[in-house]
Amino acid sequence: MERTAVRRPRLATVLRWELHKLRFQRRTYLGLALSVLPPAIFVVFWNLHHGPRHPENVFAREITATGLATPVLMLLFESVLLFPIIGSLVAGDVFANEDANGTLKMILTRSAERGQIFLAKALTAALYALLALALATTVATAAGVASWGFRRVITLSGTVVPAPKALLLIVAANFFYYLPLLSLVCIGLLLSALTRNSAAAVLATVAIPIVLYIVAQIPGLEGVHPYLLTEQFQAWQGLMRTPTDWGPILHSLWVCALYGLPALAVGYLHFLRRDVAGG
Amino acid sequence: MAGGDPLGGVQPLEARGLTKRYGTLTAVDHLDLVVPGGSVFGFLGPNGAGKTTSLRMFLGLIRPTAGEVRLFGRDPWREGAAALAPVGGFVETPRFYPYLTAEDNLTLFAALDGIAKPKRLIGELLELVELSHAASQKVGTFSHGMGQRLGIAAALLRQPKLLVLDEPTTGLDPAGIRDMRLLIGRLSEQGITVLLSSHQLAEVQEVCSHVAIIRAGKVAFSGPLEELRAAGRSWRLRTADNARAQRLAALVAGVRVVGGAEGELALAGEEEAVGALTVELGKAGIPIYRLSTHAPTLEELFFAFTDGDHGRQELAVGGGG
Repeated sequence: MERTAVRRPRLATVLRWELHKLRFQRRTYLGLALSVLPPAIFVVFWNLHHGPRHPENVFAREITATGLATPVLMLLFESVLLFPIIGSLVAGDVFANEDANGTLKMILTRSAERGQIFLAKALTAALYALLALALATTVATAAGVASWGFRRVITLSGTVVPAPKALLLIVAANFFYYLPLLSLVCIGLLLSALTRNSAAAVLATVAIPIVLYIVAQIPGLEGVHPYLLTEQFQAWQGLMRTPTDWGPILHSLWVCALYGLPALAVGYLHFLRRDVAGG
Repeated sequence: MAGGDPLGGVQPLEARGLTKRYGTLTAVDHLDLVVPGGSVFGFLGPNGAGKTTSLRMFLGLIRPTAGEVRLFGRDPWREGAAALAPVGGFVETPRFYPYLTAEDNLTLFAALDGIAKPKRLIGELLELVELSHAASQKVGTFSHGMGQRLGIAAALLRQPKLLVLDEPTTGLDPAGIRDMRLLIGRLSEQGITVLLSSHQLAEVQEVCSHVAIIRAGKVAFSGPLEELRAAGRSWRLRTADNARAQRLAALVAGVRVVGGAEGELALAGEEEAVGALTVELGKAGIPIYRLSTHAPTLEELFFAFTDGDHGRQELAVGGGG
């Protein structure tokens, strides 16, 4: 056997294998299916039940005026809880799963540094959430445009936006929704590293927006609403107004950073310093 | 097997005052250990003695509460992967990604080791551990023994200078155990230092040049196996009058009566001192029927060191010459 020198791998190599592992896990496909099914079901259902033979109402007219309304409508609904659930599926699992399988001790005795492993896993969870979001938007846009055409859009302010610009606004809206989702992913990563229990970490991550929605309903706590992560899930709607309402979007940026960055930093430091005693 | 100091003063593994506490429980208590270069070092101890915790600290998986570990002079906790570069191995059962094939698992580990083009090496290692036929099989379908063998392959992938193996023969059939012994011997001949944690005392006795026995988180003995055997060697004496012989033995410098059973006295002492006792017995007119040395087995020594005073007593009177 020839002697082979081991050396620290590149982060891209570690990331590639993290993504490779993701390909073989059922929850990966469960999350992606959850993201694309609502727009697909919505468009099929609408076409079956609200076709030309059915009487139209105002809502139906707005929805079917252009296919580009579908991704906006889907983002409005999926952003509340479905994408947080999908993001949590991988973020809450990514460290805890290795703990449960006993593979963490195996990968931490190779030449990749703990920091590299953490970053690769964090990037994997972030990329997965992005993929789910992009896939849902793509399916919603494609299905909507196929059904109702690539036409101008009427914004929330009542102004008309040409179709190409509306498409750009949809991409931008997804980007600004992705930021609070990313914050939740960071919290999921922290919980995954701390709890070492996949189910507990996923459920706890999903519970966070639910608790925040409940907090938002408590009378007398209106003052905290702008600082709730769940409020930031709707900040992207500022793009759907004319002129663009940048206030909630810019506010969302730093609120998301307040949630996400400390969670990521604590998770990182914990992972660097923690004992790997199981498995 | 352990030859001089091939590493110029830097030992493959040195632990100084290594301690790990979990709240009020002290799992490892000021453990001092040196694994000499080129040795096959048996790491022995009963369950709960702190073996696995020590191994995890050796590999930088657990942070010591106090003390330090040096792998070829480098601290695995502080220096991380860089300190582990010349080290391969596993603690407890080696684990793999069950949904990946054996080959994919090794390719993943090779990637984490920064090994470029590992395909040929992986092929050779799978052949070495007799898993070539299962290269494309998902590890989730592997038997325990196959997992152990894959663990060896994963450890050797790094071409280590120090190989840390925790119970490597667990789950192997007799032929597999024999092959493992031969493999360890071959690796040692290639200059690889092997740290072998095992409950199989016969295996340790056969392949190890050095041993450390730990008990309640502390090193009870550490050194060459021959030294351990010499430390545990005793004499068996049978005379016409054991009671008088015992009184006489107490008067001879360097001889200690450490027990007695089945009409024999168990004595501890150097050859010269016991020789002097025989002269005194002759002068006293006490016929000697039998005088023999008793070299304890590793198992007897193990229990002597791990069962405390009771074990030592057993060691002194056990065997039968």
